[in-house]
Amino acid sequence: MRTKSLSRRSWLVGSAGVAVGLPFLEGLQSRSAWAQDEDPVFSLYIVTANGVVQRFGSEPEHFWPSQTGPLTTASMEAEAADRATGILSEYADSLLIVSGIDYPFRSTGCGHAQGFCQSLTAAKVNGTDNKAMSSGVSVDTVIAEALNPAGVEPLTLYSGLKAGYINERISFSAPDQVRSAEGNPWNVYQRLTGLVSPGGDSGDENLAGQLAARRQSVNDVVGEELQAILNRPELSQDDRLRLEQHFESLRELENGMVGMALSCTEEGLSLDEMQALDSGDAFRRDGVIEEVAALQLQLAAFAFACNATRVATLQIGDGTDSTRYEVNGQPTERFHWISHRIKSDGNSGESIPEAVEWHTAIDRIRMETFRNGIAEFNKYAVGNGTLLDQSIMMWTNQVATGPAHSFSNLPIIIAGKAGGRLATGQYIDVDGQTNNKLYNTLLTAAGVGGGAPVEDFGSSEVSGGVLSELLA
Amino acid sequence: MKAKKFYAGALGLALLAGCSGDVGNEPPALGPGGVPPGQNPPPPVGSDMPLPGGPAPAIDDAEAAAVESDLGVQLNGTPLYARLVRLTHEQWANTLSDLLPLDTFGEMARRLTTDPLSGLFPNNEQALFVTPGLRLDYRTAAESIAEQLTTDPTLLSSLLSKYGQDAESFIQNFGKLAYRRPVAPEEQARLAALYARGNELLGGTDPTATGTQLVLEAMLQSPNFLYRSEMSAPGTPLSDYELAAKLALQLTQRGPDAELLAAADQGMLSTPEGYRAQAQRLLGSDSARQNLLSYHSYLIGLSRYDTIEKAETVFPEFSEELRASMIMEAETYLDAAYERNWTLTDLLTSRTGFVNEQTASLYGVQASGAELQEVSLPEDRAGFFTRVGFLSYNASMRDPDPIHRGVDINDRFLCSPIPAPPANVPALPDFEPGQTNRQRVDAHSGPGTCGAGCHAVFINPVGFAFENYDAIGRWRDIDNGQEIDASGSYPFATGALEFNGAANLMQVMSTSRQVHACYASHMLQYVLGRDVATRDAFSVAAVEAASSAGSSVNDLLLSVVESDAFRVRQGQ
Repeated sequence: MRTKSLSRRSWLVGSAGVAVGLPFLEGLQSRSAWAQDEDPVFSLYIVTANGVVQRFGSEPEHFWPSQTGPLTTASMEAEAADRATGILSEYADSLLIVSGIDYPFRSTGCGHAQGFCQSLTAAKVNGTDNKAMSSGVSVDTVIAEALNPAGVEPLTLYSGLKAGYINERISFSAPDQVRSAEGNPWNVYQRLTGLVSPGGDSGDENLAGQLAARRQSVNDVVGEELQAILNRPELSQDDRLRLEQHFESLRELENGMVGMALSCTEEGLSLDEMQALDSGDAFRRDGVIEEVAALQLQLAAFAFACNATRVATLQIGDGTDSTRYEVNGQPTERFHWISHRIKSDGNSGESIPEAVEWHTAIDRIRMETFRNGIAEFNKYAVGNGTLLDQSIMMWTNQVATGPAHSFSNLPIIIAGKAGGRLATGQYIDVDGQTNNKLYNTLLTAAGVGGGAPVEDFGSSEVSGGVLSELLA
Repeated sequence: MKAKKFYAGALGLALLAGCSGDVGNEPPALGPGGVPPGQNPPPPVGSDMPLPGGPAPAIDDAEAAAVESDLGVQLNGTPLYARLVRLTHEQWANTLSDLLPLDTFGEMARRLTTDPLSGLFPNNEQALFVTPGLRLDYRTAAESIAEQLTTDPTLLSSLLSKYGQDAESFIQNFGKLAYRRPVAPEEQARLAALYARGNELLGGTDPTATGTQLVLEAMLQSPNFLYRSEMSAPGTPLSDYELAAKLALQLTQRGPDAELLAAADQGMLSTPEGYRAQAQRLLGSDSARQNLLSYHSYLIGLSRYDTIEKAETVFPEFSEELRASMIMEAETYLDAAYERNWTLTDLLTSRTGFVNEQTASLYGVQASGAELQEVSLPEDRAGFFTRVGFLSYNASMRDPDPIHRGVDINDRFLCSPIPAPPANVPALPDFEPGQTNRQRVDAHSGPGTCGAGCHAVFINPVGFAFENYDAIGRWRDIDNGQEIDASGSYPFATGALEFNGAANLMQVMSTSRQVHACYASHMLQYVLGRDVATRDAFSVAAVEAASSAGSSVNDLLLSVVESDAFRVRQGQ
């Protein structure tokens, strides 16, 4: 196997924030991401906040297609004015819309935090409110462990404010250990492009070999210093676990990220926009959440096309996402307040008469962002089809509805055919199944079981198995 | 009397001028040299000598719980007492800026994988570890820094003239600052061996340049640089070097300088005088000022104010410039605490204002230009919470928001036990004719409603005290045609107290032990870099007593770093 080492990132070579040319790609165009006989599936999980406008109590229905069954561009387009999902009509053939999915465990406190924690883990939540953490790992952790080269973490993306109450909370590397999510697309880009050797794949094995040897020597010294600390009997179990994680990470990613897809190209990446959002930490400001989300989706496609990882997550908005969206060119109240339909993060406040209208409009804005993300995936030619055909892009929300924070009938939209393994082109109501079964199904489609079905993801307190009607 | 014994023995907390006395549950003042009266004089110099008075006695959990309940604040954190705490990215960048001749460390820190939130403060031990992604970031940074410094002849020569021309002295001198202690012989040997392979591994011709580059790469990725450690046995003091690192990192957000390490060399940090002298020196630095501002900014949640937005139809004067002025004003006010040596009471009640042409009219005063000018504000503007930033943030685009004004103050300054609101709560009914904001909120969440437990008791009374300030913080007497009622009563731990209006509420709060204890618990959390739990009740009580007695916030910081909670190994 060809060894591959990693280079420093260009951002550090340049002075403050100046982009440095990235010659690596030219040398890579001629290589394919994976061997001819391989059939990789890429998974992207998107979790948004504050629910969607769907039928619940007196709330109107503005989300789901009006009937289950086959989805066609024509049928979806016809409802696009009334149903947010209709905005995706162009990709009807690649869509699998699933209703009837619930979280396994009821909320015992703040629904936003508990929803996020269960959204990709199907596990019980430890702690409440802003201290809530998942007791299990998330689906991206499982995929990375099964399909990424050893040590290659899932790509963990974020867009929106981090107001400081519940920030990133969907990707769990271990029980009670949430994975940090990168909200700055420029940093994501730099990290991804840093994952290429300095000789690139232009064939300078010498240079790559020299770098690998040097890193090994430096790592040996660092490793011995770490080991000396690990040998101290005073350490607690927790200290030890953390240091061992650090120690483990010293292993070089020799098998990592070998080669690039035929179509892995930075053409079409909005680098200027990413840099503009980097400047002065503009990506963190209010009002750019959708712009950042669009860039992150672009980068997820880029990462997959470059075979940098098989899995990514994107959280859009923090726990009580207080983004101020513009609707019809006018500013609105904080989104979290809108989702409560009152001017409050809590349970009492003046009603917001436009709340349902605004929330519906926000759902549509979010769906447009998702549609543009699907287009990014569809842009990369891979094999006989596109990256979209080889992917699973799942869009969901931490809670099903705004005011009720319901944990039932979560919005689940899957785009992409997983290499033909998913029964796309349909809207299916699975009628009250827990989300662990959904993930068993998607993990199976992603090839995590190595051909065998995955049946036991998430909590052992709920029954397992796959939802076979979602598989082709 | 038993509790007193604990304060003296378990805490050894130094109280400063203006807060002596032996009243009630207050800890006794320390005598000259920081030694509590009646205790032994300090032991001779030596880095592993026990603190005056010997190892700290174990904490009596039942007694701690009683003190906690007496203080009226919940100390329900879950500290890890980590023996190895990773530097925050801010500490990483500041430390490197002090050590190496590059000016891009702040920018580099922006590229490091961020830490997930863990509580109010970003320096909590729970979030500070090395993930696989961060480890790659550290390597990228180390390689880049080492290359920049050793491939530029001018930078290399400045580096070598600072730390030494040869391998041994470079490793020793740079290593001491980077590892915050002398480099051990076996470490020295390992690093020297790496240095010697510079030309071979880098394919270079100048062994000094390549050796230095490799050694820098390794030391900047070393756990001894990336983590601060506490290796002493439970209940015994940290070593001089560990104390030097902790003092510098926690008070100034950067590693110890040469003077502090020299004090550690001489064992001076094991003496109360030597320790205090260094702590005071650090507290006098500009970094300490920045650190105090950061603490207050996190405590207030200042970064949230970026999202202030108002409806143009109701507040045509609102603009991005006004929002920026509000934030600048809040920062300047919080920053004043350092230079003016403010007490918590000052922060809560001062009428010193910083206004410009954007904000002056909201306060009914005059000012011109965009620069902030210091003014004395009217009587109804007592302290931080009566300023336009806080008031505008806790408001909708049109109306003041008494509930969130109340929640914010309850959470951050009263440490009241308010649970999260239940889901699926009906909206407030629309205004009835002639109804005030207060009447409507009360009818929905006040006495006799399902929100009575939290709202009527804790949240609404505090929020209603601010009803005289509209959604951009301007004074108002009338709401919906009726005179505003800003009176109320709050159930402090020591009993209910009445007030009328925000200025009066702030006066009342500034005399409340609970408020000082709440502030103390947050300060301990920040300076210790960990959660505080019931076991910390004695420490909280001691800082509370000093604050209640009028110690400045700077002096409170000093008292925290002089406490056992800081100097003596806690946990297992």
